[in-house]
Amino acid sequence: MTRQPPGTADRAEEAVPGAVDAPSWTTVFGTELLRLRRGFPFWYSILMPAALILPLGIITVFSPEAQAGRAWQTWLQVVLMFWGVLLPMSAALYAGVAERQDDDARRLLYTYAFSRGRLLIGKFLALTALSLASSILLVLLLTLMGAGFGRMQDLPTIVAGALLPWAAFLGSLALCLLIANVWGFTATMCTGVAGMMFGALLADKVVWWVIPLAWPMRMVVPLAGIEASGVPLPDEHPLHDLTVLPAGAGLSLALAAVLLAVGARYVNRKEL
Amino acid sequence: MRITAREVRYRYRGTTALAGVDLHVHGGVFGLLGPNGAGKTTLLRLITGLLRPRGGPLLVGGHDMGTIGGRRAVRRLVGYLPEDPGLYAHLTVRKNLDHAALLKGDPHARSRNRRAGQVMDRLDLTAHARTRAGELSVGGRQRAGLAQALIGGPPLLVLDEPTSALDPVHRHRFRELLRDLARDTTVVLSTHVLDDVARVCDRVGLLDAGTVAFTGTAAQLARAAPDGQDLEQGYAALLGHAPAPDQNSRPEP
Repeated sequence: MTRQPPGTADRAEEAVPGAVDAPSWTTVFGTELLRLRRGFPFWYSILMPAALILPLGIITVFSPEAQAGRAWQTWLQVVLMFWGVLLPMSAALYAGVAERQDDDARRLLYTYAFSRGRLLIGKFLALTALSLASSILLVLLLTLMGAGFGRMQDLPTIVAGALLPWAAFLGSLALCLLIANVWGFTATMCTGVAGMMFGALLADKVVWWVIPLAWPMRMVVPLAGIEASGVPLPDEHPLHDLTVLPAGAGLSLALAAVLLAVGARYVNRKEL
Repeated sequence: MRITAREVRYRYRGTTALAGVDLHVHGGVFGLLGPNGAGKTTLLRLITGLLRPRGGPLLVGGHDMGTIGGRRAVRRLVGYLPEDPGLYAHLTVRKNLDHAALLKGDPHARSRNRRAGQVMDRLDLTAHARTRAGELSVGGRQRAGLAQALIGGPPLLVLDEPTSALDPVHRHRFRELLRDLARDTTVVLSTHVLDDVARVCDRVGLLDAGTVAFTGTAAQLARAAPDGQDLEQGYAALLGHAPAPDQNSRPEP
């Protein structure tokens, strides 16, 4: 980087010729990821899948279903069920911690020459990447377990059961990010808790689509073949219908896009 | 870089922070003095483009800070050290500087690394390059924050209480750094430390209750004292806390 020569005119030239203080989307995404990948969001992404699988596996081994020779099927259903229930809380934790992390640095961040909305969207993209990595880790761990049980034919269920609820979680993530930005950490955590409740209560109801926080669990219901309470679905039950999957994922992506557009406009107009 | 303010105002909800500020900065090191609540930090935030000025025009380097384009243009030119340095506690000093350089638009890891090394060397931070910012002393965090402000080689440096947590050795080094920077960088700093003002500032502005009570050199400020020499008494006299020998003390046109 070069210094400006002395005796400059009133209208100053840019500090670094050719390297303007307006980083690209890639750069903003990269800086957000740099901040997030060393701290709670990173460790949560790594440990959450493992924390789901191991304790639930131990519990499953001693269950009546396992005694009846359905250990793997039960384990898979329970893991996917908890995955769906916990995703809204994950959204709240990711968003709340990420926003809180910027509390001290916010004034400094806003002195850089790019829109605040770009920061918000960059943060969403970075959290999307981290949560996707977490989902992929869940797929890998479940695949290993399935291989151990000789059940590789369940691979499509494993992949869909981890990734489609993740797609449905993105709307909740955008929502939690906005709430964290406007109302702070506590409100965001309350949203996460409410999301877990809504998932458990509404995911197998006709009105599931009304509450975005219930969408991840709704994706799990037909994939894992369970009700929201965890009770296995009888064969031919209407909740086995897979047409809800593209609807849920599409609604989530659309909601995320709308909320981010609204949120970006809001933070751009908001003064300190 | 020139900064010109004419009747600039700002209110936070029910509180008037600036009630009509007239100021001219012509480069060099400009010190902003004043008691707590005088409006110094608000004025610095207006200069950096964090806030939109009300009232009259505020021009920084020819850019109108009342417009979005003007504020964004100036943000490209500014290195800012707020009262709280704004470091990420879980990142090392080097990572914090790397992050700042990235946001300043340098996409090349090698040049960012080189620049971070130069700045850390200048501020005696090399030994702390791998220390997490949260583990630094208060003075160390302030130096790291200053490094963050310098990383982009800005033509305008805005520093809010930059020496408040520095020990005498580092304060001396900071003054030398400012004198070095002032050759081709305009520096605006707010401070309570009159010794810094006397040793470093080319010109001084004294804010009181949101207006400018004085602008001039440190020597002119000292002449407001009863003995005509003491900077601290001159400062107090202009704030109305002691009799001044010259009742014609007023802001320069």
